[in-house]
Amino acid sequence: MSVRAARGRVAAAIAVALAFAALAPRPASARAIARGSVLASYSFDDDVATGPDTFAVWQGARHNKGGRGHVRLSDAFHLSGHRAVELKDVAGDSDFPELQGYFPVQGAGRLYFHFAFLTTDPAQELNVALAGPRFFQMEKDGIAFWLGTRDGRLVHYSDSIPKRLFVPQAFTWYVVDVAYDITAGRYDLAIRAEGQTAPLVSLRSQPNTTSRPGSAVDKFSFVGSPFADRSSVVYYVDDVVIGSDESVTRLPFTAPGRRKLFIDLFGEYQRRLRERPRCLPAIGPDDFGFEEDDLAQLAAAGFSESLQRLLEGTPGAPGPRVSTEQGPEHWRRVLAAASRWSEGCAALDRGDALLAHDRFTGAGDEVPEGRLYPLSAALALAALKRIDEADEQLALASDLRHDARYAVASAYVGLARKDLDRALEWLREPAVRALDRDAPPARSGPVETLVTEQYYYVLLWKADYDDARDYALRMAERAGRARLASAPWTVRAGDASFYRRDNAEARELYESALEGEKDWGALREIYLKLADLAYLDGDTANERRLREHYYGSLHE
Amino acid sequence: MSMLRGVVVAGLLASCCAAAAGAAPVDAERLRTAARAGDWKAIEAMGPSVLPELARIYRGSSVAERAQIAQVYYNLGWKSEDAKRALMADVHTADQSLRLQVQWALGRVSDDPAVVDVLLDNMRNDPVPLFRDKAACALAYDQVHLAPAQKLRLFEGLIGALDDPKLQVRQVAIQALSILTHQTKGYSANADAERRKPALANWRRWLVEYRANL
Repeated sequence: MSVRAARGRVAAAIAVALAFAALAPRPASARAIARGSVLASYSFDDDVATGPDTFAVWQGARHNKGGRGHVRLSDAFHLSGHRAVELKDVAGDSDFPELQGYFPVQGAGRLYFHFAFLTTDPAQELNVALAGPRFFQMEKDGIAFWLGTRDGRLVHYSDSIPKRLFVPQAFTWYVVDVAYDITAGRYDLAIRAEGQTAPLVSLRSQPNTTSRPGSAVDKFSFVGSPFADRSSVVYYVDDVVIGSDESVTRLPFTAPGRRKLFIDLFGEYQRRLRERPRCLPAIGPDDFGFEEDDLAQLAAAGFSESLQRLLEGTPGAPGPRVSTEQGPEHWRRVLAAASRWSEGCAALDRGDALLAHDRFTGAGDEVPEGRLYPLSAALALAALKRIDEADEQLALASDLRHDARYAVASAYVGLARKDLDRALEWLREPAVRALDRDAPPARSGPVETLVTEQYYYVLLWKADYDDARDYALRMAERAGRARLASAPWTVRAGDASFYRRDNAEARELYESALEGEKDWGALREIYLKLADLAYLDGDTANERRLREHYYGSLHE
Repeated sequence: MSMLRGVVVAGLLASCCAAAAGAAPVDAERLRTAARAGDWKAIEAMGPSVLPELARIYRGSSVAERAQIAQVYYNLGWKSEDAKRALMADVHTADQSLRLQVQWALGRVSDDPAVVDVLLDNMRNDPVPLFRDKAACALAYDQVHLAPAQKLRLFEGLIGALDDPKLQVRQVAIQALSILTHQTKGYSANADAERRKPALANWRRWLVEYRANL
């Protein structure tokens, strides 16, 4: 049979030029794994240039300039740290986005490929592959491992067969571990849903894509739909690790750079607000008042794009279109409120704090469970110098008290009272007065709580860590005297020590806080901070123990 | 991931989607002129609404013109019941040019199992070796609208042909299979029946697994 080479063939466009695009992930430091075994590792939290040893990023991999998709960093969703890579494909644009990463050619032995993905709509096609020097051809040294969604189902291509795995849920992180025996041309595949220890998939010795022993690999790729151009997928990728040591499969518990430290989050948000008043990012759908059950149903009802736009939070971007005919009233209400918030963020970014405040309070009135709305309103009010009202909004956002966004917003409101030094001056007197008198038998009143917290956070903002720690310790002592919970202030003292990089003192304070803390959310935060400290100290076993404690608690 | 010959499909489907947007009135004369000249780009610009009329023109055309129009269908890659019916009428024609164009075009206008069946039949039973070869070629490259479940029929037919008494049939069958799956599983068409058995068993096991994953 002769091959009609000239007929209908479109050459597989393997671009060789690297696109030095805006996305700039960096190899994460691999402290948790022996360095020599890590071939590539990315948690996408910091910036670095793309290049032949790291990544190529193609907004449109066919380079036909018609592509309307993108590949970019996003803080809308992340498994670890505070960012992940977002890939968006657009059906019918004759192109597709691609994130392609490189590592030294591996022609024998075992290779471990770990990554996490979250899709906003499983019905939309996505593809992930490990390939070799023959690029993405179905041949030896071409594609070795291929995972994708087809008609709403996750499949892997093994032995030239699209083998069914499971129906993924929208807005759920799935952690994938591939242990590839290059010599045998076979791989083990494990897939876990976020927070679950039992794998959804655990397959042994699967033939590689075309059942080719010795098929070398040197690159990985995340794309939308490269074939049919029918996908409008938006999905996220995080914690990509390629290694020659099985320890990478223990991720995410010991992933290098897997978690942005609390201290770094504070710094990140602080930088954001230093420039001008603007929204702090939404980091999860619950910020808007969505519940977990809502998400899959919303995606199924076709609201994925609306949700997506919301979580992107791009100032000036149009809010989600809210159909009056689709979905239950509750969803429309939550989406409408979120849309208002989005408009408010755009207004705040333009400097129109008045309009922003109007939108934020409107959203909060509509959906009181949207915890981001009062926090955003507090920022807008601080920009308007309406401090008392900002305090009221902060009090409404107290559910976020363990969140770095609350810490930064609190400091911002405190600072808005005057300039930096005068703000401290203003706060110092009532804050110190609070120390000088015993705490009331019940918990502190809202005004006192806000003043003392703002004083502490402004000290942090000013990097007066010693003063912040001392103040927090004295507040903890005061609470203890009144037989009130002292743990929150002990944790704050630990945070201040953490910020000044006194890990030993921070650990001691966190452990002390653990003893008196009963609140599950607070306990989780303390365990994660202790895990961060273990990570910083290179104590991976302890880090894992602490993180597993956290994940275990999730199901208790 | 810029990959595979499958990208052929991308362009075709993209053009299909783009074309589906418009449905202007059909200018039969302009269509006839373009069709008989093989000007598929001009027809693509007219949109899929011309397909029924194009089938009428096909049926009223000479053998040479039908071959030209079959090539137009091939290039358009639009699914069309009218086109399938028109082309199926010529799928056994003895005219070489028309036969080849029809066999190649059928899979690009239809996912009807009858198309796979007739091509498999031509591949195994047509008295002309060239037609058998090109039927296999069409099965390997041009069944662009088949979903995985529909491909089962194609794989069953090709794997069945691995045991065909005619050497050429076995050769083109394994070649088509290797194009579609990128492997041969150790099958050699030239080996005698006994030596072919292990590889044939491999292919049958593979088929069971393929079916199990549908």
